[in-house]
Amino acid sequence: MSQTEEPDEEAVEEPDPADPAGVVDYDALEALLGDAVVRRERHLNAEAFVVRADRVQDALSTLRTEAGFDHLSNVTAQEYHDRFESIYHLKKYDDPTQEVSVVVPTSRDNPVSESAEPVFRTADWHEREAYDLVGIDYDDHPDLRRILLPETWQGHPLGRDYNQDKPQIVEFEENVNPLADDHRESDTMLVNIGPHHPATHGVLHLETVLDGETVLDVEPDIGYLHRCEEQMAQSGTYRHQIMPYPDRWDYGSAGILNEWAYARVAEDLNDIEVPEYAQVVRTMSAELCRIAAHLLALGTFCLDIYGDFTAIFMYAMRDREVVQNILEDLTGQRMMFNYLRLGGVVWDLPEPREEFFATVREFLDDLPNRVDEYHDLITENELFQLRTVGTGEIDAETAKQYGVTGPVARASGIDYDLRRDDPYGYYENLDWDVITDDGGDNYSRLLVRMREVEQSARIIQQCVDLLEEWPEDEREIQANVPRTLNPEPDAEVYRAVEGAKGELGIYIRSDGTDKPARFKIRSPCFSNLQALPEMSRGEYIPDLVATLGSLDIILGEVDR
Amino acid sequence: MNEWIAVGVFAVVAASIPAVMVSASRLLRPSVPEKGKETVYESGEVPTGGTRLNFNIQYYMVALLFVVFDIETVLIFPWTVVYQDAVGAAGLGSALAPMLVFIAVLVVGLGWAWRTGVIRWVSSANTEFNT
Amino acid sequence: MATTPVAVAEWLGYATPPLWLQVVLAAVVSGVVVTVMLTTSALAGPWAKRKITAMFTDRIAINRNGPAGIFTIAADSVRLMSKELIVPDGADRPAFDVAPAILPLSALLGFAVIPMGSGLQLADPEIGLAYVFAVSSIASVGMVVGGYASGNKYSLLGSMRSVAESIAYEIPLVITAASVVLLAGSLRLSDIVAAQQGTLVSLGPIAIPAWYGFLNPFALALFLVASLAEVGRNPFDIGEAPTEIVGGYITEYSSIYFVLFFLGEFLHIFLSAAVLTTLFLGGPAGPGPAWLGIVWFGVKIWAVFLFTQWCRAAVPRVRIDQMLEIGWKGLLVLSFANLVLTAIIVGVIA
Repeated sequence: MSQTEEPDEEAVEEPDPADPAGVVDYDALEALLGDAVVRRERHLNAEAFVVRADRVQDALSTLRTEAGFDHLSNVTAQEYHDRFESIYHLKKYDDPTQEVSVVVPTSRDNPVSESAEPVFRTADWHEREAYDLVGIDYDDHPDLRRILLPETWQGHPLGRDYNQDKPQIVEFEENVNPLADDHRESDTMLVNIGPHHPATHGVLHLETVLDGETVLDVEPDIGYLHRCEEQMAQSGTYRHQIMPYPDRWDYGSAGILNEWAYARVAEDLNDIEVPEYAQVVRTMSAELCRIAAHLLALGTFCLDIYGDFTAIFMYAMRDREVVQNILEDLTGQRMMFNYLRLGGVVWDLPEPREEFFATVREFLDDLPNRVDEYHDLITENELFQLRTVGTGEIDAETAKQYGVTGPVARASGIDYDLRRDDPYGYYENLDWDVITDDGGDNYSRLLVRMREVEQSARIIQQCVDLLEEWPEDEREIQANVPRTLNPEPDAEVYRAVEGAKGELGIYIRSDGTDKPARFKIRSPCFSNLQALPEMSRGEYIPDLVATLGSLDIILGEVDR
Repeated sequence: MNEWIAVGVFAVVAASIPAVMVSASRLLRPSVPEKGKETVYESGEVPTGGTRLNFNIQYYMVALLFVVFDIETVLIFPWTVVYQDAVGAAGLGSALAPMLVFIAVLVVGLGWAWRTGVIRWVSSANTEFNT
Repeated sequence: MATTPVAVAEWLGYATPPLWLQVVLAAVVSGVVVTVMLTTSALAGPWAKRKITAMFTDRIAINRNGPAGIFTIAADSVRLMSKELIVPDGADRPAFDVAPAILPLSALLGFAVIPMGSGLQLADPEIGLAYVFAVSSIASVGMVVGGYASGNKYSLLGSMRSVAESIAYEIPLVITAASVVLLAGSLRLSDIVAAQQGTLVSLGPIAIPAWYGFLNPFALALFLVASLAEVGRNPFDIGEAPTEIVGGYITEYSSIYFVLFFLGEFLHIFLSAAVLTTLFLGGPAGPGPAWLGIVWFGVKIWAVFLFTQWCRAAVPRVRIDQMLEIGWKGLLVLSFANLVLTAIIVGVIA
């Protein structure tokens, strides 16, 4: 691993040779945290420490600096009948199987807890979301405003006493230029880029402050596509009603990857063992989705740089179309696949299987030529390099602060891929590489995506080989899963998979019924987008647009 | 026959094209004024502040340089026209050398401007302090 | 070679035509020139642009109305003409209305002195080349005025970018043209065309004509790049840059004003193609009888137009500071080098 090894001296056990993944010694951690810890809780795949509301920063910075938990993966907020709770899910970039949660309860009358923002920059947006949807106040937070809902919204929709029928007034007023009084060389100018703009990849609003062509400040304003996905998942049953929703998060063809995030967490929660055959099918279909999603990212990124619906965009669409056709053959759908089920997949490969395999192989055989063509057109083009090399840079340390994952993180040299580091599906048994690049700029991000397409093709190739050979009577596509799932009450679990854009995680708390009591989505785009100001301040407008394109955000996933 | 009469007449004909198009369109097009339509387009948001501001033109030094070089081209053109005849009449040295000196002076000027960093997009000093 | 009005006057028996006849003849020929240019640029241009870009990008483009969708252009014209004209609140009124006319006017004016072959040339002043550059650079005034008068921030940015662009590429363009004047010894466009008649070398049956593009391909390349920037096409379309500043200076223009800008841009491309053809590609010269000249001329300017579309489909847009550097540190220096070298070579040969 290219990253600096954490000096895990006293906190973490030496990795056991039999279990190279390493285990977290929670007792040592508890000792380390000292009196900040009130008690311990048992979550499904990580222990949690309940921490006093005024000691959050202490606890988190100890865990970060002394125990090496440098990745604040997610912040979940929820309301119980007697208290509010913020849960900080921590991981290590070096080894994401080492997890620990920090639970911060606060009273219902006075829900104030200390902000984690000074320790982890990424907590900024996560806590704003918690404030917005659940209603917890964070002390010491630099900018505690609503994030998904409009400023004037009344009440907190995921709170227990939220009145859904209350009429809401949403104002439509001008945005405030935060640097309006800055006249040092010239006047600053607030330009709204989006929500209705050719370059914002959906309905994103960037409040950009310019001085001439230079970007002084940029503030992403999100929430235009907020569709209450968490709320909807909370009112659906585990077994059948939730699975269609993940397709609608990252709708840039990454449907099955999202479905897998839910499948993984729900299977963990209910102890469902997925048959091996189904895992292979899942792996293959998920990687097909990744290729489609990366091709879309490539096309739209080039659209931002080239400025028109040019050859590259159309070529990317053409190749993506081939993948979409394969996925349609497999799932019956082109975007909202709804293919995975808890315990397996919905149906086997289409008959005749030989024809399906032939189509996939044809695509895979053709792919190297396509990739060469893209390299010819894009990465080897001097003007393109002029535009992308050295722009939108983010170094590994800053990226970790923002909880950046996925291709964006890997392009900054962070060797972090859950498919390898926290294995699931059939990935462990296949031969493929995690792509990283040290550039940290727009060019690296594109390059990483292009190489990942090749790696995905390798994975698919191996899956197809396996599936072709699979004995007919052992093709078990579904585990035996009861009609209704009622997990143990108060079981809590956070699980993530490697989505197209990065770590796509889900936290579920059960309450003994067949529906989750809290369903929280950790969206990689949400965290990645948060780093945009860091990458584009001081650069030019064209670079801002290019950087946004290279982050490859899907607003459906950012806003949920 | 004076060439410029033809050019003048052409200018009138050419100017009539936009005029005719605008008038034709005036006859065809509807007019349904409405407050919402008239706002300045800024990605669907209400604009903050106008455009009449002290805008930072980051290439103003280059623009000044442009004026110098533009005048220079005016001086080069007459020379290019008579050059071949001049070489015949006065020899290569006296036809070419003065212009080479003239261009050299300008190129030295350009080189100096280049070295002092004038020919670039002046990035704003504000960015240094601002986050 | 006489200009068209002179030739017609002589044919009518007037050696020195009276003023009224000069005006009438000039008006008639102007009408012909304008009609030719408008049909090629305003009607066939957008259609070809869509079809060509589609071919480059694996698409089909318009194909429903008429053969290969050719009538769509007629439908589009009517549609655009009959759109409501929306003038934004903050617009600076007279300037906002004048700006759209400047662009097509400046481009059209340039055609007055272009020898188009088959005897079609309205005027042939001694300083024809200087005149073309003079009128065509008025276009950037239209962009600046339009962009600034719109009261829109994208337009403001776009108009400022257009200025930067023209100050970066005007000089390389003119200096490169000056190197052609060195060869031809005249600014009169018909003289420049005449100087390119003849054969450079004969390779068996194929005779390479003495076009300045063959004589000095380096200058041709410089001129081509500078022209792209001058007309604001990829990779230099930063003035409009849809993915950055929506539409640049044309963001607020709708209806007929938009049409005028659009038309102006096309005319501008064709004008710079015409200048390039005249300077480097032998103007209307080509095999076959002389009356085919206008066909050859058309073929050549369409070839240049095709090149701009090719760039549009395949080349990324540079950033504004990079554009400035390419212009001043690259093209300007190269164009001076080209001028000096040409002068030395011409001097030595002469």
